[in-house]
Amino acid sequence: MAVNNVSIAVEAGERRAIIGPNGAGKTTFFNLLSGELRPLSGHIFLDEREITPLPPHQRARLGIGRTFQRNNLFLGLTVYENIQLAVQQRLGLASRWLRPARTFEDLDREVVGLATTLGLEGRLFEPAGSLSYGEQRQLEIALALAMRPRVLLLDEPTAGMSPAETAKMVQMIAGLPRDVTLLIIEHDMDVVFSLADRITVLHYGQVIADGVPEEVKGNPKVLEVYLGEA
Amino acid sequence: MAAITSRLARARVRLARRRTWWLAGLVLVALVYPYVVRPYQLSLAIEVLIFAIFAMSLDILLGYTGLVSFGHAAFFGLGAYLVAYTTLGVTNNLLVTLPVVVAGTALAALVAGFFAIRTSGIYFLMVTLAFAQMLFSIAIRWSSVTGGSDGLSGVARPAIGLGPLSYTFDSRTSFYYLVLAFFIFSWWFLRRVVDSPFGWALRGIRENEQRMLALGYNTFRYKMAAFVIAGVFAGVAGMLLTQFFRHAAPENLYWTTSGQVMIMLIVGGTGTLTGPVLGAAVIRLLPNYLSTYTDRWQTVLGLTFILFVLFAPRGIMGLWERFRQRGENREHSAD
Repeated sequence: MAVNNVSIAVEAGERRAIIGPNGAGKTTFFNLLSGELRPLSGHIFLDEREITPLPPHQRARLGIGRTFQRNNLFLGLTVYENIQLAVQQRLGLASRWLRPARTFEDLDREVVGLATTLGLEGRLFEPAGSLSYGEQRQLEIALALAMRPRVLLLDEPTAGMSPAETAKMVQMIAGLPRDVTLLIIEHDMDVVFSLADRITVLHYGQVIADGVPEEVKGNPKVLEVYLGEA
Repeated sequence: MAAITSRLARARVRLARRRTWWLAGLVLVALVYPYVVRPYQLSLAIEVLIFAIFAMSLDILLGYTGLVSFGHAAFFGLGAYLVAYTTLGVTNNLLVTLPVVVAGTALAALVAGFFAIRTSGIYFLMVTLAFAQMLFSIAIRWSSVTGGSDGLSGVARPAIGLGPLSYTFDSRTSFYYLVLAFFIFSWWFLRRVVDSPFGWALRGIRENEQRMLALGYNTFRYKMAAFVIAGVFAGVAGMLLTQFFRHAAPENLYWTTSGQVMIMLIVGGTGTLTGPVLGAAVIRLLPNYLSTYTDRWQTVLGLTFILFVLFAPRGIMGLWERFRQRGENREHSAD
């Protein structure tokens, strides 16, 4: 069982880190939250509302945004077009079918603005597939942010990044407004401790610890699990 | 930020102006065409325009949404039979036959799409093929309604009008202008759809459907919409062909017709809307041109297709893009 008897409650506006060794079920857990996977049993609530039966696109519309562990972009489309797809959906323009997309000025402005916020304005018209790994990671986040989610699931946002890129990413995440609740899967402990309000530790699909960073740091079970981890 | 948007704006204006001149020129040529060519060439032009509409309709589905249908002839043939049946039984008035074709093919697309779009990839291919072959089979057997393997002949050319004011597109030239009008409208309409946010959503589904779902798109609905639009325009093309030849045949529903339009798409370039038009021209005109030189024109056509798939998989439009890129690169290296 990839995720076994996991019970987690996250407060609005909280920054919750989900950590654990590889294979602990962290991404599977995210997939259950965003709707890509259905649980065999159990319930998921967003603000007291049960969302367990809802498919991914409906959960996204309720405000659950996510990034993916492996870049999940529109590689054949330009950076601009990638962000446009996210923004036009949020603006409710996505089903407009007889007016060219480029004539919607607020769409254009927001796309360029978001790209600039994430430092991608220089690559706006390049195909996403030609971006560097770090830039693609930034585009991943841009797509999730474009939805203005209430809950943002960040799956290893700094994976594969250089220290400089990681620092930039952490700064950006820390700068997100508190009306966005964050769940972050991370392996980099420095990132975890600089961002998290609370930490949940998963191991073989089960929660083995849950608390504020200081508690978790000293938890013997957690230390045992991480001993020997590179 | 201002620098980027102004650069974008300038590029757009340049492109739009160049395009407008091109289009104006083409329209002019198209308008005088009947008066400068022989009747046989006019017939060829009519065929090309009709298949261009058919090919553009499939491009919406295959090129833009990424749904590879091998049964698009279903809607082409359905349009053919609907107009034939209505014309023979009721009237040849476009004010009646066109809505019948549009409504009939839209309904069929809704029903077929409802089942087919639950599948994807190879299964979608098979389901669409099966649907078309099912219609073909009905057309062959239900002779009392469809004329069986002979099809329905004696279909009058369309007329348009109300009451005493009516015009019949009897002559080849007048029918050519009718088809040209349909083509120009289809081109304009599908271009608008493809450039709209909805059109971009279709591309998004083609590129990465999972991501589209994660962004909140109900991709099923978008695919259905694409399927219906594609079906309706294919039906209109089928209607025009039937009105041209005054005959609806079961071949219009057969998988070879689905295959032929796919070949037009690949040769022309999928996902471009212009490509299918060029592909339709090539596939309809090449046999005519070649058969004056050799009996083996089908072999040549087959070889041409294979060569395109191997060396120019993005079709004529792809070659054109590559040619333009090289031109730009040479410009840049010269600086």
